[in-house]
Amino acid sequence: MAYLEIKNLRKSFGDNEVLKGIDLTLEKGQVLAIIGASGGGKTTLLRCVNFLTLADEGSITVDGKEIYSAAVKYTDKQLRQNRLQFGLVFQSYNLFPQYNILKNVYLAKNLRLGAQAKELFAKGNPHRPACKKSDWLKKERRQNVEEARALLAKVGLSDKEKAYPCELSGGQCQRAAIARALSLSPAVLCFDEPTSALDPQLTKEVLNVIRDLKAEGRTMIIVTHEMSFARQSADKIVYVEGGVIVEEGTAEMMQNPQTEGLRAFLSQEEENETRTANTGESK
Amino acid sequence: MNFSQVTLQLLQGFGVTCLLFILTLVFSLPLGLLVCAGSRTRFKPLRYLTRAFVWVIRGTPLMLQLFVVFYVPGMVFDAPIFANLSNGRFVAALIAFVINYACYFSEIYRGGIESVSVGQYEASAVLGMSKWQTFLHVVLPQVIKRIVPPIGNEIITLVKDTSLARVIAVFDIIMVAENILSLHALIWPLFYAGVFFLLFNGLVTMLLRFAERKLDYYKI
Ligand SMILES: Nc1ncnc2c1ncn2[C@@H]1O[C@H](COP(=O)(O)OP(=O)(O)O)[C@@H](O)[C@H]1O
Ligand SMILES: [Mg+2]
Repeated sequence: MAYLEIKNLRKSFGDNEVLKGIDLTLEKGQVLAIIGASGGGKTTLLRCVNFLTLADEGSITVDGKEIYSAAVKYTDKQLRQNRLQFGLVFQSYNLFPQYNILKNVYLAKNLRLGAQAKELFAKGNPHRPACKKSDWLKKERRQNVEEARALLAKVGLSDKEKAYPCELSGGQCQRAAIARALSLSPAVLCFDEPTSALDPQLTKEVLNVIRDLKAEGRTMIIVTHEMSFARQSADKIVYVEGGVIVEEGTAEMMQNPQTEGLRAFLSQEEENETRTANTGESK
Repeated sequence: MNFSQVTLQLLQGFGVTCLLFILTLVFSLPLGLLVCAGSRTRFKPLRYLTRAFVWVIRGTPLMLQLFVVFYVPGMVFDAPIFANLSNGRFVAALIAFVINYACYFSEIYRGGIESVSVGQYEASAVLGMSKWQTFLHVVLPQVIKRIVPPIGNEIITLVKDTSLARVIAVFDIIMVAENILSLHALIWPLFYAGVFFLLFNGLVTMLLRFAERKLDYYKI
């Protein structure tokens, strides 16, 4: 059984069936690139995986454990617990503007401490720590901050931990958002067009971070229009059109598209790339 | 009457004005949150009822509302409730002000909450935060930053609006000055009363500016 298994995922908005039965598998440590023209349902797929919308049909399994099944009714708390298997990096970063980069990264983990402490220090828990609850919290908080620092170092933002999002470039914001998504150690990290709002230089620095994460063995799903990145870094590429996976394969598939849809999409992307390259030069 | 006698009398009235101002804020700022929750609830009857109420309060003169609060309970119970209490007039004015300002504040809160982008909620959700944590740690700080300027404007208006309490004979600074006018035929104390408002608003403006500067360390 594969590390991540998505089975027959379906989602409709009213009469509009956006996902028409998506099946996907991904091995641990692999990178999946999802490509396809706008409106094909790529964002909806990632949103279903992260429970930002709930799929109408289908199931999601990570490491042999069912995280979601449309047939099951979950409580809010269960969904909150299960979604931690996944992280999501948005195109528009969505950093918290009122906190500095460091706090952006450790906030969510700190907010989980309350519930954890309650459980840990409950009467009759055999693993109840010997220290006082307040000391435990202090220690954990300090550790979370240190972990956040390490994550910022990993994305090359050590010198910016005190900066607020409004003081950073788009590329720096996106790298901070990646560090934040890593803070809860998700099993699978998803990216929805992480570089679409960035110029080529900043795109490069973000893609480099993603390459580093691949080298670390992170399992990732990336919706992207960066065809050369997909070719070089993805272990698996799927082409999505009209809510279905039309083609699925490795980088070779890009050289040798089997369907008219993918062929047209690739030549369109190539055209866009040369156009941006040209305007880039003329500047 | 000489200047210091007038000043002393006006100060007494000004005490009432200040008390009305402060108590109105103390009650209407939190009550506004409640009204705001009502106007955003998923329970439709309550939502429409709240919005209709806010519409009426914001759409009619505060002076009229003062009369309504002061006289209508007496008409309903067939006894002048507020007029019989020792500080009933003040209480009636306070109730009218609190209701009126809570409605204005609720709309400011609503605008502030609705201006926080969906992306902020989604980022919080993906990070496993509960609804309450999201509101408290992500949404609320941004709302506060956004609403301080418009709330400030309302507060400055409130300082001046307190003088309306005089229409139901609350013994505020304007009423005191008018009394001096009719008893001693002196007009200048009335104008002098304006200086009190001016100075008070100067102080309020300074405090608000301080708050805005405190919140200026980031942009949304
Ligand atoms: N919340 C929603 N409500 C209604 N329709 C939606 C919603 N989200 C997406 N859609 C529709 O789903 C289709 C696929 O959108 P999306 O998943 O964003 O595609 P992509 O990311 O591939 O561009 C579009 O036609 C879009 O209009
Ligand atoms: Mg999309």
